[in-house]
Amino acid sequence: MAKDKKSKNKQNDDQKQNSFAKRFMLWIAMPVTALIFFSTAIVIAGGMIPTGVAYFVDKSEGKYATRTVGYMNIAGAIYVCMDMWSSGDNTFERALTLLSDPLNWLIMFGTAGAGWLIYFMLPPVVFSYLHAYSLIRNKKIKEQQDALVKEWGEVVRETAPMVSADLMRFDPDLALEDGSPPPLSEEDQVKAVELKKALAKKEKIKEARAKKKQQG
Amino acid sequence: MALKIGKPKKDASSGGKGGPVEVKGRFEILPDQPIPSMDSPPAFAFKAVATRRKDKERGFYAYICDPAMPPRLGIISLLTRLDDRHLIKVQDWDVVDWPLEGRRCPVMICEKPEGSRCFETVETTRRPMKEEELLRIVIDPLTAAIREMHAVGVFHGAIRADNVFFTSGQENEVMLGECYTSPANVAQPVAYSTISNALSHPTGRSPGSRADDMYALGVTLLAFVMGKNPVSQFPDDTELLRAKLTYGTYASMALSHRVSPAVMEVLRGLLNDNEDDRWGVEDLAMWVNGRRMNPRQHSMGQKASRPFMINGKEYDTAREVALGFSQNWDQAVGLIQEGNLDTWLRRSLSDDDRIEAVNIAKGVAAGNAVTQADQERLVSRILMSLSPVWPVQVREIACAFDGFAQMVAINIHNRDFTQFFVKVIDMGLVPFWLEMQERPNQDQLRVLQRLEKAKLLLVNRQMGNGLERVVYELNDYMPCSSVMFEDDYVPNLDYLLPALDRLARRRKWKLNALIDRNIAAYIAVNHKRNMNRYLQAMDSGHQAVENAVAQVRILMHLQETISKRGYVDLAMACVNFLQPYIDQFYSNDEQAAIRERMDKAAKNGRIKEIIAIVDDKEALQRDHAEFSKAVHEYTVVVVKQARLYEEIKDRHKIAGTIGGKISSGIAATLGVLGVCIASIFKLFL
Repeated sequence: MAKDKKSKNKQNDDQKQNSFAKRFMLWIAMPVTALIFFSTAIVIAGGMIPTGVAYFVDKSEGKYATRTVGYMNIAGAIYVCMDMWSSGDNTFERALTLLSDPLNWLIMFGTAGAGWLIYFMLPPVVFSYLHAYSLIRNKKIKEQQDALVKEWGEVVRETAPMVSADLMRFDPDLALEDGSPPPLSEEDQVKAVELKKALAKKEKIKEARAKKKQQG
Repeated sequence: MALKIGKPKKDASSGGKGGPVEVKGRFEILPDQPIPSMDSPPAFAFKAVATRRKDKERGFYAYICDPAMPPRLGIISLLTRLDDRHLIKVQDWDVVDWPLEGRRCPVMICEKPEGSRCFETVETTRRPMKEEELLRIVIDPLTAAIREMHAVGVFHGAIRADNVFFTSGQENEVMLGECYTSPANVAQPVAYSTISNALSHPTGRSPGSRADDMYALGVTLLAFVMGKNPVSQFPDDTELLRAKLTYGTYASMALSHRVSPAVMEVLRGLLNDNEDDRWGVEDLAMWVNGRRMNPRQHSMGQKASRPFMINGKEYDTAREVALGFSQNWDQAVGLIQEGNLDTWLRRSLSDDDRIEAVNIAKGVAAGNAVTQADQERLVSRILMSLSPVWPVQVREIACAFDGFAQMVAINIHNRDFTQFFVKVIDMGLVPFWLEMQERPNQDQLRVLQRLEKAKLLLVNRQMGNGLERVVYELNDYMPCSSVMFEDDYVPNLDYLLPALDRLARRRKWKLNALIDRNIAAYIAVNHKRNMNRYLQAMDSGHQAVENAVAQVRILMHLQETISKRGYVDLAMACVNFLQPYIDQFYSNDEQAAIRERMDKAAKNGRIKEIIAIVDDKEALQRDHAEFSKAVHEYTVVVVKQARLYEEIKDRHKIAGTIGGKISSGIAATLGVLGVCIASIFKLFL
């Protein structure tokens, strides 16, 4: 118990330190760096506009679209900045010249577009892979079950717990022609709702007890 | 069930139709050669031949008995010991497949008399015998025969004119016919039955007594004296019965005929309606030897000054009133409760004994007898109080005091009779009958004692008890009357397992029960060892396994103690019957293995080996432990399955997350690579 508490406190401390580091980077380190490398900051700020848009558009939890677009976008922006860095002319005018060249915009926005392309292409591939893998796993599970039933009879199936009806719909063998699961029967729907309610009630009680304990 | 002779069943499954039927390797019965002249209903006679050379010359015939009317097998061994030429001698008995019936029937092999039947039927007439002839040809030999039988404690129970044969064609001596193919007195006509027996249902008559035999002998002698049926003047049995009740047997049957004073003396002695005053076989023997006696006259009871009216008919004596009540049961209740009977008894009959008896019968609650059961009890008691010879009667069914055992045995599958028996026991009518007797004898007290014991068994509904147990307790030689043996005949325990074996073969090893309530009671009564433990296990029968195992275990004990030979078909049926036990095993492989072991054990017909497999408790425990493991294993698989379906349910989300992670990884890699390559080109080249 004491060990758990200690590790929890340590985690809280780490989280606090991380948020502090983020805030420090966002409000102090970045503006200072931008002021020092002003011309590079202007090019990058202009070139990273697609990433900014992606950030606002991407509502997913891990912001993977922003990351994918961002990584490709920054690469394009750095490529453009390399002209400035290799010439040794790091002035504001040079930065404006670079930004006024449409080819540079094409490079920076093009790499961001490539990022979007990668992002849209991969999930369907992964989905197909997962589907194929789940079919194999399902077959294997059923083979194991059938082997046990063959040896012990249906009673082993009847004695062991069952997968709930609302989950059972997702058995690939029961899938409709379009691959979607069959609809849940009314009776099973009622059962599922009751089960959810019961679980929620249980959770509430658990929380209330935990609170009381803390207060105690 | 009456036997149908000469009409073979189409689907007769046993025996060759018409071919000789072997009996214990000693005789052969020829089903295609019936001998109607020797029939003794309900049994039918067929020619039989001896297979041994030394007996070839003797004439034999066989009685095929009606299984519904169990033959008196208990007296056979006693009769075979008698060596009297005035009795048709029974040689042997057995149970055989009778092709004409398509079932198994008890058969009796008898030696055929050389002479013919004296009276072909009850209605046959012949030349009346004179006193000297009667004495020499009939009385003398029959007295000797009856004396021999009574000496070994056997009562004939079927003495009548048409069951007497001439010993030879010269007709100078007679002999008694068979008395063992059906229960005693059941086949006797009303004329040959005492008043009490005549009033009783044929199956509820007394199981035979010395007095009954002497009475029947009296009527038989009368038939020989008259040369015809002595009651031919009566239009029907009811009239005959009324005459017997009114005037007494002798007066109603013999008075209208002229007989010599000596013969009259015999007839008076034998036809006395009072059992105590009736001549016995010793009295008759003394008379044969020349001693003349004056038989006591039996008082028929007082005649009333005014008749008692029942349903428009007049009745003059208490006995007649009892007859009237028994024939008008529903009116009797009103007449008793409204006091009409009391008034008639006091004012017209003036018989103090009857008045007192009726008062006892009515008891204190006569007026309150509202329910049907109370009213039946009241009328039944009144009948017995009006006439002590009256049998125990409830509505249409009447039974002699000592005839209950026989009645309930023959009619065990007839609800009317079993209900009658239960009612009689519940209403306490048997002790009341005895209370009404002037001088109850030891035999009667013994009967009461047995019926009182039966009362306790009757209310016990446990396996091996109840009505079935009562039947077997009361009847020593009762065959097993289970419905399972409706095509078979089980006269004693030795025949039980072979009968079950045949049944198992006929039903292709599929029996709903190996032992039903009836067989359980039969075993409980007839087996020397105490089977209560197993019968109780059968009773806890909501558990199919315990019940099945208990039944097979009982059969095992029977096989081990009575019949050592193997019964393959029965053993196979036992294996099938033990399916609930096999089903206890969860493992299909184990079930198959147990079944295989049992089948193997059954092939040599030893039930003990099957039970040995059942007794191996460890195998079952092992199976159950393995099953628990299998359930756990299955549960683990189900958890995996649930997890998989959860994943399938969220696969779009999961694919998005994984795809995002991979795409961001790829983008980062491509970006870094692109920057590196570009910087090499721009900065160094």
